[in-house]
Amino acid sequence: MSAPDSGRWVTKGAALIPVLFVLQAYLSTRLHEWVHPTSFEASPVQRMDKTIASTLRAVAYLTGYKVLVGHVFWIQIIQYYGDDDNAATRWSQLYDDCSLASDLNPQFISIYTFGANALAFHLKRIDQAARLLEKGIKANPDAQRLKYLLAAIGYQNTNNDNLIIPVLEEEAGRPDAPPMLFNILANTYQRVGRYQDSIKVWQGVLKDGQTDELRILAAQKLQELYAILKKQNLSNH
Amino acid sequence: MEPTAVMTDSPCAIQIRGLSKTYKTGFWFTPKVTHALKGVHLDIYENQAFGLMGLNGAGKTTLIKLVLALLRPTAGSVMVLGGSIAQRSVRQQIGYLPELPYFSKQHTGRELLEYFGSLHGFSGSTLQHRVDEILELIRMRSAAGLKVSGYSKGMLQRIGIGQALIGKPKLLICDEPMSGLDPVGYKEMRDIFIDLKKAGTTLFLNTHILDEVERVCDRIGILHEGSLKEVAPISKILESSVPVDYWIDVDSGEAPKLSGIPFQEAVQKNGGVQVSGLVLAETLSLLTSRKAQVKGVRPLSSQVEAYFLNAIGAQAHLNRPRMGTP
Amino acid sequence: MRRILAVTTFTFRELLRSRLLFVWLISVIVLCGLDFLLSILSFGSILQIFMDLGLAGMEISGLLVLLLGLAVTYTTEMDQKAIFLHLAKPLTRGEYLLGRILGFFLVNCLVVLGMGLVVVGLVIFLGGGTVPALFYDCVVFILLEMFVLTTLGLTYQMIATSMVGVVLYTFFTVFLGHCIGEVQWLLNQEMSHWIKVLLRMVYYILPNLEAFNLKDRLYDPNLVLGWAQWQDILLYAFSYSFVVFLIGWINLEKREFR
Ligand SMILES: Nc1ncnc2c1ncn2[C@@H]1O[C@H](COP(=O)(O)OP(=O)(O)OP(=O)(O)O)[C@@H](O)[C@H]1O
Ligand SMILES: [Mg+2]
Repeated sequence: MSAPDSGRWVTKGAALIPVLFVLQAYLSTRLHEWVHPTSFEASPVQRMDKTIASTLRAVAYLTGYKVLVGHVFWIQIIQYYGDDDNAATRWSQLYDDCSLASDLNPQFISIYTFGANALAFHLKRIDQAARLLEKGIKANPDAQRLKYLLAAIGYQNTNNDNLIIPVLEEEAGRPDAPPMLFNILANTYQRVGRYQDSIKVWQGVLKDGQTDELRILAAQKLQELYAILKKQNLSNH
Repeated sequence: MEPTAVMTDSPCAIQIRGLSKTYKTGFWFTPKVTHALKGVHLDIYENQAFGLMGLNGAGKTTLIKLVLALLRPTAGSVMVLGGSIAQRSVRQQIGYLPELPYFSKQHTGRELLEYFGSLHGFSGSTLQHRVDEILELIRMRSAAGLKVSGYSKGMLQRIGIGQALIGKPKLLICDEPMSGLDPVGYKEMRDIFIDLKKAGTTLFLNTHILDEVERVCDRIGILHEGSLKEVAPISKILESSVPVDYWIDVDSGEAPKLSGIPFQEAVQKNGGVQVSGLVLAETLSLLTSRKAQVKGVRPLSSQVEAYFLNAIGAQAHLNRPRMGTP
Repeated sequence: MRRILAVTTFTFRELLRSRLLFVWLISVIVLCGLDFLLSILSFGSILQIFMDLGLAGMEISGLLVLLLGLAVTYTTEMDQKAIFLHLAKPLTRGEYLLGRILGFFLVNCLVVLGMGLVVVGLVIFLGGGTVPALFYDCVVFILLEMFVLTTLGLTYQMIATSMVGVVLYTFFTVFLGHCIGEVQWLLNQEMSHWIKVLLRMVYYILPNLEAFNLKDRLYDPNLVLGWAQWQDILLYAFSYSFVVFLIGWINLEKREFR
């Protein structure tokens, strides 16, 4: 450490810099392959269109905050989608929003499940739901949930509610199930004539529903179902 | 003047050969060049105090920074304590007080001294002991626990001197050590310098204060516009016969009697006359013959000041600032 | 060694007393608030969100501390010339630079690890989950990135002639260092030979910060992180820092302090 005149030899040591530089350049290239095992087909900058969201995505790529910005998009999606006021405007963009968010955060399963559930069972856009799920399965080959969901959507096409119900039941049983899934499940039960099961679901919503609207909806639905059951009982006797 | 003309047995503490420094400032289109130093030759001997004098902008600070390798010379070379300043062992023996000592404000005075002490290789109780010694010497004991941000200019200057002394330097380089000190501090500092000199420390002082030069320094150098004009031992200067101006005070009522006195440099309305030392005796006898009441006679400058002004050829400077004296 | 340590403690104390830990405090408050809000708003993989936000927060607060620290110390050391006093002491300029780098890095560690503790706490107590082992790898990667950036920032401080310059250079290095993957992509496109040479130089000169960006690949099924990768990343972090340090030292050695 205590060379008498370190200033002089370090200035001469500048000759060392190119050698070290080559070393670090080599390591940098090697690490690049580790970071991006498959090189981009297209740069996110190139994929940028004129929307703010797309610009934000490019910035996220460029600054190394992909996951963070992905979560921001995700929060936006559930915000917009939870609000009926946006039904006319924003809901039409649900697929685009989900695909942006999953670009940034491809391993975040909730985007696919939420998006597919909403697209397929609520908005009846089967194509888009299937496309989103296929993307999710490609990015997460181990996620069985996505495969079930894709299957359920296929059944939806055949209008065979009995095939959809098990998948919906499993989805609704998860702690992170989106609220409108119960809605869908209860309605499907009702369609196939399983009124008791439907009532059970609505009772659950009435008890634990997150918003007033949901609880009011549940109360209305319960009244409706009780009326149906009563009529049935009367006609049976 | 050729510095080697002064005969000394002591070895050189600082040996400056043909030192030049040119500052290049300004942008590409308006380049500006300042020749701050122009080929300075200077030897500073060990165990002596050397005072470097010069007007503002003469190049004194530039010279010190070159000695400490904070600047790179345009031409010439510097040897310090027989080696290069780039060597750690050489810097170990040097204390430096910059022109405006500035410290990062978040530390206390004590912490600063501890830090600089540890750079000089002190540690543990030796360090604490040395810091206490220095705090005592610079009279900063009571304020040592305060953050530097709360210090006055003089307190900063004291800590600056403290950090310069903490390594028990063989060679102490100070750029205007007295600036910002109160009269007591001024005297204390002078005593510190005299004590250091007695203990065998070589001093290199940049200063404007002629009194300090006279009492502390063994040799002085006069730097003017980047060139070394004179280097001489102080004893020689004090013996020299550079004319000093004197002020002769008379009663204000007797002012008319002053008119027509030959050789006078300036006359004041309320009575008094400035004459060159060369004609002091003649003027006094003339006044006596006119029966003017002379209240007192005092020199207007010290011998060193006169020597200094003479050397830079600025005799004219002398008159103007003195006009207002009562 | 003792002298380097002295400079390190000196710098560390200076930065701490410059109230830089406020950055940490504010980051923690913001993070806790966000996590709390999200735990109400969002559903689905809430733990994942906590962790991702936390990791990003750690990196951002580390960067903020670095940039602010560089700005603060540039004013004292360079503008107000406090550096004279250090350099006139029996301290080589390399020791001075290294000591300062370590002092800055220590503060950075304090902030990043302090945030990390808060993130772990939030995941466990607010989210009721556990932290995967990869999270800790991520923290070390962030620290390595901070080390590289600290070295760069202080080297800029030795080269630049204004405080704004230091902050801007450091900021743009962070930004461009993360774009390096894009540069590689550009290199595969059709374009003029000279632009390619230029781009390649940029590619090799900039630090490959994406290599340290493990937090964006925390759930990547293709991620391989074994001893070989650790070796590469450690060697890269230190070889890059060393080159930069050497350049900083040589510059400091040649720099004039007017
Ligand atoms: N950083 C700089 N850039 C350009 N010129 C400079 C610089 N520093 C000093 N100079 C010029 O060099 C000359 C000598 O300056 P220097 O600071 O050495 O004077 P000085 O004798 O210390 O003056 P003072 O008594 O005011 O401290 C001056 O003309 C000054 O304009
Ligand atoms: Mg000066």
